[in-house]
Amino acid sequence: MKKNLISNAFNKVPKENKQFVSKNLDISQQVFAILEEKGWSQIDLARRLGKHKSDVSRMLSGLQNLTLKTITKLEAILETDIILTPIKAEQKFGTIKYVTLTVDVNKNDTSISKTPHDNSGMWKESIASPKKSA
Amino acid sequence: MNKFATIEEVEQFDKVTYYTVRFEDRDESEFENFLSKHQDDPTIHDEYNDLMAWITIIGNKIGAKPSYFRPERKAHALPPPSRLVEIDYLQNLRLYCMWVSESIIILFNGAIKTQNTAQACPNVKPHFDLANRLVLAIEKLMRGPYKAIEEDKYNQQLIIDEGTEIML
Repeated sequence: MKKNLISNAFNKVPKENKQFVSKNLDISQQVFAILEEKGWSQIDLARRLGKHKSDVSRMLSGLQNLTLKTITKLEAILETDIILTPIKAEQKFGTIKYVTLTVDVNKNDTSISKTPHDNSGMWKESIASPKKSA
Repeated sequence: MNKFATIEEVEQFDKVTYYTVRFEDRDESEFENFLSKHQDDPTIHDEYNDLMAWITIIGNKIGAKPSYFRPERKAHALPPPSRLVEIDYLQNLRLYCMWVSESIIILFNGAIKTQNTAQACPNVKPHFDLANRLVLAIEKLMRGPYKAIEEDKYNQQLIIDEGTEIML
């Protein structure tokens, strides 16, 4: 019974709460990555925002309801995007080609052939089986 | 009079294993008591669910990175290394925990804050005081001459000598 209390607490969270916290943490992780790239601390960011470090900690905790104004202000200070819609991401980064490698563990031959995956432009590299001699 | 408690596992996620503390004279562990008190409270329904989602996502996807577990300010006044953390990012709900590593967190108890500071709040202060004492006692068991509690980093678990009790 007691264990149900804990498993219910974690498993019965409404989807909207999970989505809110998940996206929120995505944003904070992105900000942390940008700060690391720039060599900035949270204190540096706080100073540029005109806030206390504790305000920045709270902002990046994953639990604050960040407004779009706050996010875009962060983007302006960090001079980079934090969030991108899928359309914007495609415009910015173009189409990404994928190569998938398939390995048949039962075969010995290590020759690799590239095969088109499908018309999407994806290619599949596969390890070919040895040709049996007649 | 001394009080005795044991550490027990709450849940092991992919990146974090959460533990809590259970006093010998109580039916519920500290974290279970936190859940019982708040799960049906309509005034903090959203905050509660956000907090549960946060614990889960930190546990499964991110790990207990220090940037998300800001030490409680008062903890710096205690003998180092003090790892008492107050999860105070929500509007009113507060939860205390002990940061052991990026893979191990010990969840304690908390309450709804009704004053400007947790220390001034009659709801939260008892949990803050208890959490402080628990952190000190657990650290003694982890760092004392006889280490009754150690971290198994590989299996993301605490190794606790049989019969180990926290004494307050």
